[in-house]
Amino acid sequence: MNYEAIIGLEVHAQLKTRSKIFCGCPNRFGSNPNTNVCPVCLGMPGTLPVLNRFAVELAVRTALALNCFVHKESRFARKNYFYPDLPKGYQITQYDKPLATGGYLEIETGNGPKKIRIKRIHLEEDAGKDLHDISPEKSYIDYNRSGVPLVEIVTEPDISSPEEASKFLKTLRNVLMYLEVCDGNMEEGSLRCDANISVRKKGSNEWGTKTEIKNLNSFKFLERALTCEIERHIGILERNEKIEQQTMLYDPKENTTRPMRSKEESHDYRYFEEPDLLPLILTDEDILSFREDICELPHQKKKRYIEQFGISSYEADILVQDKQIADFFEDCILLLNEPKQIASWIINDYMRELNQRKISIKESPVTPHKLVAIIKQLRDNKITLNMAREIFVILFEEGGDVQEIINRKGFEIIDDTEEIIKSVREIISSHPEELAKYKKGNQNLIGFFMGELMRRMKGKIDPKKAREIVKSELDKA
Amino acid sequence: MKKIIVDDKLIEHLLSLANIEIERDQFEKFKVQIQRILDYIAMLDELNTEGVPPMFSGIECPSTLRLDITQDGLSLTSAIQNAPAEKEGLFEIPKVID
Repeated sequence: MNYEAIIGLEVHAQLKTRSKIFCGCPNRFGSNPNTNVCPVCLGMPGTLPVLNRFAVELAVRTALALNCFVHKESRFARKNYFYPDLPKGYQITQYDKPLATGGYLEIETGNGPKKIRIKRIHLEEDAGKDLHDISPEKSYIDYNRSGVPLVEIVTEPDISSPEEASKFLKTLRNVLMYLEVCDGNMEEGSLRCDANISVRKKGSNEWGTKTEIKNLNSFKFLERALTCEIERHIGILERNEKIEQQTMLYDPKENTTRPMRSKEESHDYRYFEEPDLLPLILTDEDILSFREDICELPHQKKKRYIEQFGISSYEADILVQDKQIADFFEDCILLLNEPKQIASWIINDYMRELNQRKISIKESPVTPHKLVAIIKQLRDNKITLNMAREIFVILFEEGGDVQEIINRKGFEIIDDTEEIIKSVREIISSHPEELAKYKKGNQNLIGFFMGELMRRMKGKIDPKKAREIVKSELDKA
Repeated sequence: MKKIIVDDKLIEHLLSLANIEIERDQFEKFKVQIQRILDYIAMLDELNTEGVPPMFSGIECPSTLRLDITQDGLSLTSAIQNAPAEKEGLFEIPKVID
């Protein structure tokens, strides 16, 4: 029997504000425990929240970029539950009057582009962080994260496979990073994801019972957890048993999903209007001005690169995956109008060096000026491709100036045709056996003569030109 | 409003939501009190609210927003001074998961 999966995601993204959502404490990761806290975010009695305007701006920017309808009036609510990381006993969130509804994000799939609808986007506060691994008897809490602004982005159940879910999250992460709304750091928890999933027989119109998998903090875990959960659902259905609606946790060590203990979940949140906050009212002018701050998004950039620079869809896709790399590419083009060459250098040589050194392009010592200087030398036939690659690695390892390296290393191309012909003839005459084999039709021998020539000329000749000369001299010999 | 039946099950549910415990022999006393509260609120049902838009607050003005500026909060010493137990600046609590 064939089954199909129906998946929806809830993504939490921490907003890149300077201060928290309802108080002036720094929104900063990695500080010493409980040093970015105040009476408001510690939930002390009598304190009052005041909404951060920039958090609103970033959330609206996200909503507009995801094609959502931004409501001019939205409201905050209290979501009540007891957990030690939540000092007030409730989380301030948005419930029945969210900031934005009804958008979509288009993703690339094996079967072409697909629109994943966005159901809603709302603002809320993050909770503190529980630390369970310090001691076997006790838990510990750091409230630095309490009150960090979040947007929650909820999709419609439009996702049909673990791969699609992961693709959606990657695409969304990239958009959020382009918008400078979120730093996208999943290891530090800046971007987190819960997944709702149900399974049904293919072609059926009825919905299966859904389960929710919480706290998926990497693309790999999201994909694996969904794969496990789909298999688990299918197993239950095959045995004609009932799927229980419950909340699951993914265990990466065992690669399995298990139900959360009932204590960890509570569906009775008793939402009600947050009496300490007034409605959030946005004017047309506010929304218009937030819209102006939206930069060119990855898919728009990709389209432009293909049309304007004539690079392939594959190359454009790689370049737009990281805004810093896309910016670097465009900076290079401003200096030298050779988009195809530049794209190829960035995608092959540059990104390999970055990966090996585990650094970002911003931390790299090779600036657009330096990369372009190499490409210029290569284009003007002043150095060979091998020399260019060597210079590139030297720039990464030692820094320096392209011309200076060329001078120091004695890199140059011998462009004297007479001199090359002379060398080729000498090589041919001192290798009569190889020449004889060539004459009998063994074309591979061209490579042998090329190798000899390159060694003799210390690699300082244009291989294309050398090959032509070798071939014509061999044929004449 | 739907008629709510105040029975032992409801009391147990409320206790778990409020994260408190009371003795079993106190249940009857609380049932009476909670029923009295519900009856009081049920008076609202006598009002005709047809066509009246829901009102969430007595104040009809937009929320005040603050600029995204950081301010000094509490020192670590003040932040944890009321904690029953602490360790290296962290609040220490009973184990919440296995």
